[in-house]
Amino acid sequence: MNEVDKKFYETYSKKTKIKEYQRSGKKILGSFCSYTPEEIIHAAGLVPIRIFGERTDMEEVNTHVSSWICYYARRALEDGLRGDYEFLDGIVSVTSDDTNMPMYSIWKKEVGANYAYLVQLPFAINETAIKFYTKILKKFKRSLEEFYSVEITDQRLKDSIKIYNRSRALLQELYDLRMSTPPKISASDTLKIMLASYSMLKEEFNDLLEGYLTDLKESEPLNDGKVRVHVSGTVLHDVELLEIIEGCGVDIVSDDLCTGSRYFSFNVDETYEPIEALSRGYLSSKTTCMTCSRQGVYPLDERLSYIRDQIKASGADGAIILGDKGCDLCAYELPTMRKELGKDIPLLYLDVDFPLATEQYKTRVEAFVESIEG
Amino acid sequence: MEKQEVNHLGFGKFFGPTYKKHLMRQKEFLDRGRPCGWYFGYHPAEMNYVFDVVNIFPEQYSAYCASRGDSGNMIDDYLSLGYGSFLCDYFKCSVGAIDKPEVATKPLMPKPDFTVDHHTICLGHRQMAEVHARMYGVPRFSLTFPYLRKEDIGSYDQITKVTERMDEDVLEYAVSIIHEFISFLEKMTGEEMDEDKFKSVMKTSEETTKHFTDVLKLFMSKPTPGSQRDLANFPFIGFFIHGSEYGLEYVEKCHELIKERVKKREGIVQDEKFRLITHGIMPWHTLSLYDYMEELGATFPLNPYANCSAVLHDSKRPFESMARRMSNFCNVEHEGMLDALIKNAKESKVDGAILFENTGCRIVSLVMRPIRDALYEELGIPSLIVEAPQCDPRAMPVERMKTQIEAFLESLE
Repeated sequence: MNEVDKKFYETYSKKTKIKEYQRSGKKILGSFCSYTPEEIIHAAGLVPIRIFGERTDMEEVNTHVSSWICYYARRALEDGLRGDYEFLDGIVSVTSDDTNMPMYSIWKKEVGANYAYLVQLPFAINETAIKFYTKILKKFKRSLEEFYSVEITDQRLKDSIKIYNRSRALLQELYDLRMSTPPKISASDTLKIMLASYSMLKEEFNDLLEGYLTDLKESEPLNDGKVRVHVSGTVLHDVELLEIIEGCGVDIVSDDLCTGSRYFSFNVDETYEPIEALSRGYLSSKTTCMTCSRQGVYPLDERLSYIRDQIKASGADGAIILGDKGCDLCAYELPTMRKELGKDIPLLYLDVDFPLATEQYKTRVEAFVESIEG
Repeated sequence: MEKQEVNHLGFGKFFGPTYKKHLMRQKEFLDRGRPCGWYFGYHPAEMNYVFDVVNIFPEQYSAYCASRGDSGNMIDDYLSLGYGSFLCDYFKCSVGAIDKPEVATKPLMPKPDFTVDHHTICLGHRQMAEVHARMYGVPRFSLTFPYLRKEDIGSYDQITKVTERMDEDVLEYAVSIIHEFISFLEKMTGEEMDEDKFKSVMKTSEETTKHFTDVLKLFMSKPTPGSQRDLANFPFIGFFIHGSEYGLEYVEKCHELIKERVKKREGIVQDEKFRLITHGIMPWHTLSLYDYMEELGATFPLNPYANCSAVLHDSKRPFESMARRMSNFCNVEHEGMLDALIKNAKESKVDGAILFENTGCRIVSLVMRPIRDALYEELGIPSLIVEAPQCDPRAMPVERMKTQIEAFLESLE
């Protein structure tokens, strides 16, 4: 077992930290979206974690949702229905897409939750939207205070924001090391660390990551000479998929995944009143939720600009889009994305579903690598 | 099962002239060089009549293509562009029509000067509007209302959209967005909003919505006074042309017809065997499926999809009224929406439900199973869910569906 598995991945795969929190009586809240304002949950003395479904054999879920919706939702709900999330005291969701909204209701009824809250996004990015979202976040704060009989003071919020900003900065450092030439860490190990960040209190995660980064900086880089690739998509938590791609002579050096760089590529400005600061932070352009946009621009242009920035910074030789047929957010954008990114860089599209079609992916990635290497 | 003759109310005979007036308005305004906007269901439709904007509806165009049996070519072209199968059928047809007008149903939609993406029903509309805007290289205005939670509105009437309460912050935000939209239209037309015209259009809208909501309430009468063909054009009025004189004329006439029939206690069939809920966007290519069910004695006093397009306006509070469209069935947390549906189901005395799951439409499809469960748990009545993409007949095996439906109806007997 390597160091990343032991230090980080087990907190996700074996829920080691979650079990520890349960033993100490801490309440745990699960979320369905990377844009959940976790800082407020954290400031309430609760443990925010992300819900991911690990199962690929769907038994229960098709009774409750259509079989063609995104695999993230289907798999998460399957695990929920089969009791894997019984340790949760509650759920928090965000109105970030047309699946997330009904999923919240379905989970609440079919899986159950002592506490459930849906945070309403303004779907826009401007001062009016920021003002509205600030009010929404204040309501969310009040709801947690009332339900859990806790006072979320400004100081507690500021402390949580500081911890989360630190976490975002450390994750950026990790990504910079993955981006270096040659990389210091693989994408599959990076994803394991990301998954740990979703599965434990951020202050503990920060301590762990800080120590790991010190060692990583001093370590020998990975084998050189591999094709450098950017990976694009939304929610990805399957380490195996990245391992398959990396096994084909690829270094994944950047990404724009919800469970990757988009989770931490913004900062919450600590000079504002804390809730307003969160509102501004979560509604910052480019890296914000894909369903919030500014007037006068095509939202996809902002996303493309972010991807191009990542590709430029990482020096990627190609890009792989990990598509999910059931994800409408991806699907509406896909042809334009392929056309636009294809002008800049060799592109491979992989249709991802589970169980993974390992051999098919290998063949396609190997051919892609060969085409880049010439 | 024995077949019966269906006695339609005949709303259809009024729709032809109404739609002709709508097309004539579009042509006249295009000839005059008025700006053309593309809109999705449930925008503040009145503003187009205040600003004399040419209002085009890709969803309605796509439904029209499907009803003409032409949608297949457009969907095939859409797929050839690299889009996936699990997106909205309306989007598929509209993209196919833009990309390959030579295979598209005529008359084509005129080129937009702008598109309006808005969230009142689904977030998919936002991305569709972006794709359309990008294809034509025109600006896109984003008109977004928040998704509503039960605690924001309390209980509500799913026909009038009158809510027990309305969260002030949510309402204020939605109204502020309508004001931004007005500024946008002022910019696009180069004209300031005419306050008198605004009042007049809002008055027309108020009148329209009174008739509209009353027709839908009367539909719940026993026996069911109208058929689904009668109802099929209502979403066009409700989603797209509130504020127009011709929309008002149409619903006035429909209202008179249905009032008369309810007074006489007449139904669409002699022997009403089953009173059912139907939900889901209608499969426009196969409306004959409703005829088939009605001939078997099944009537539909409650159609939440059609009801979704209704709202009761108050011209004294015009902005609030337009914003209240966000409390439609598709934009409310399941818990609140199902409570409203159960209330109507009890009033309508229904025996079951036939639910059309529209492949690619998440908002509609993901509520089907919760509706099925709520109807069974609360009222003990069964449901049949069938897969029915609204514009692609190739993905809907009608004969197999008829067998399923007939078996379901037999089980109700």
